[in-house]
Amino acid sequence: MADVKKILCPVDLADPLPLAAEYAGLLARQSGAGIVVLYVVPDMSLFPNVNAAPDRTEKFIKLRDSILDGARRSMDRFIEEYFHGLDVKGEVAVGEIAGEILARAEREHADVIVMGTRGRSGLNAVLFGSVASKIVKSADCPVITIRPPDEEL
Amino acid sequence: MSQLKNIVCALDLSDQSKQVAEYAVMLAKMSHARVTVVYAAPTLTQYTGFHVPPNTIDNFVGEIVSGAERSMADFVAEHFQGVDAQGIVVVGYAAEEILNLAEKEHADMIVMGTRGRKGLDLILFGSVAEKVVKNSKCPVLTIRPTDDE
Repeated sequence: MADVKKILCPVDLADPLPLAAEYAGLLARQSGAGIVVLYVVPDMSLFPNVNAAPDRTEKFIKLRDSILDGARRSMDRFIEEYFHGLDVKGEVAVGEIAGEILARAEREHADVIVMGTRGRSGLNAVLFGSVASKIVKSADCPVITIRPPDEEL
Repeated sequence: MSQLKNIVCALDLSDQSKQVAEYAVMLAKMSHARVTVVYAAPTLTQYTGFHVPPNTIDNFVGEIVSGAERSMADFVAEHFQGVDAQGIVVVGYAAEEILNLAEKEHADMIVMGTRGRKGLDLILFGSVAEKVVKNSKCPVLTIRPTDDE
């Protein structure tokens, strides 16, 4: 029988209206499930030119580390705001977004993934739609996708 | 935050449908939601240009629909026990019909499989799910069959 004990909620921390997070919270409250909130910082291999010169790589690593630090702090605030009082764990990962989400879902034995069909800012606005498509097609567990209301295209 | 009051559960009455139904039932029980279970029979109007008498096609679709209505009634009786569920059969392009129905029923969620039908439909139904995911105004729960490999 279908059951929800663990929810994986990949988020765009910069999203001003994270419907997926609200939805995951609602589902967790109704089902008593725990939540893993995941933010994936795109891996540097997505920017192949960065590898051109060694000092560039170093700069990139520095930049990435400061992004990671910032992401972890944002994650704490995000969790406090949207998942207050719930059994929740925040994770910041580096890598290819869809791959990281799928790997995490498997590792955490997620019963469901709850995510937006796309983020609404910057790079994520472009990437997240194709990410959602990949997850829907490849995830072993069910996926709940939520489309932002004013999405164009 | 939206509560779950109306669920549209789109099925193809295949082997996978039982699994899709389980999730709709779980959500319905959790939130006391009403479920509209829908099967979209393909329209064959695109073939009327092929020198097939239109009546032949209409009759054929009619037979499919009445057959599907019986299967649907059986399916709902068996797999939606204890839930306020109603089964319907519509004719048309699946993604469009599912989205229209969701709007009409003020669905708070659509529950559907990512694929299930065989042959050509196996490819088509995946794209149905993708269209629904991309265009639905309400959240969509998609379930990929586990016996997929």
